[in-house]
Amino acid sequence: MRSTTTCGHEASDALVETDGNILKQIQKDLSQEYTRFMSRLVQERLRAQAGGGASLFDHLRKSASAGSPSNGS
Amino acid sequence: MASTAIAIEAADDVIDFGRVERKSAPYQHIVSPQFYSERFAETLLTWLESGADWRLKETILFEQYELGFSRFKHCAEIAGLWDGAVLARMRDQVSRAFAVPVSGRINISAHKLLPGQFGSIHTDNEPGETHRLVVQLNRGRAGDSGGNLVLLSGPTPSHMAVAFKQVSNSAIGFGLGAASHHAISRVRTGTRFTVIYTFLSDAASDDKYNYFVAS
Repeated sequence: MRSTTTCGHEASDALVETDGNILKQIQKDLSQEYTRFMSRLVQERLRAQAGGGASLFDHLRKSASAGSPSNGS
Repeated sequence: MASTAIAIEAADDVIDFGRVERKSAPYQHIVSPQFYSERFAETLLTWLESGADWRLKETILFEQYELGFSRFKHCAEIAGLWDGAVLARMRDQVSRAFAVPVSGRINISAHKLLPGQFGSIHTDNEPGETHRLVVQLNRGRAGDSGGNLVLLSGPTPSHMAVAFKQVSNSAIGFGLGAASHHAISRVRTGTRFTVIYTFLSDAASDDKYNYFVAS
């Protein structure tokens, strides 16, 4: 058996970003996308309340907790 | 016996995945520095770069190009990707690493992200899917090029816990559930390619998922 499973540190440490400036930029980018998403969520909630329909709002809310963009079957 | 030897040889030609480390924070995940053989990684990256039939998916949550490999069974040069022996080795290694048996029914897809594209924080908590393995393929991406896979301990950016460098041919795997928050930071330069293996659960029906089978 050529495969080994370890709980060591070396390989994973080499793959983890540790540069503070890069981490700051990544977090800033995530924050911008998050703000955009939440803003859209609020807009849709208001629209749903005004129009009595909640389907898109429900869809967006579900997407935030689940969503599966990775299954490109 | 001879067919077993041939299968092992075929798997060696495609997959390495010999070294896997398990981490527990922010949730259980595994990391492998070399997933494919060098030769197959080059073959697959060249195929991804050379005009595969990508489909653009844009939602408020993510923007990316996607393809499912079930549409490309005729492409002999990358057939090792869904070879039963290759998938069996991967399934066994993932099962060992997580200490739980994962399914041999495996969906294989790829993502391509261009500058400006991203994947916001989400969990992929789908009843039909148990684990995901993401393999990064590229010709070198600088630290500030964007497109980093990020694991988070919660649903907001302040929960950012681990950001991975985009070392080509490295793989990151994690179990899917209500806590598996992750994201892809916005791509700033270049093209980000990943191959995604999704291990299906018994709840995954054949009419919803295309998949390959480990032998």
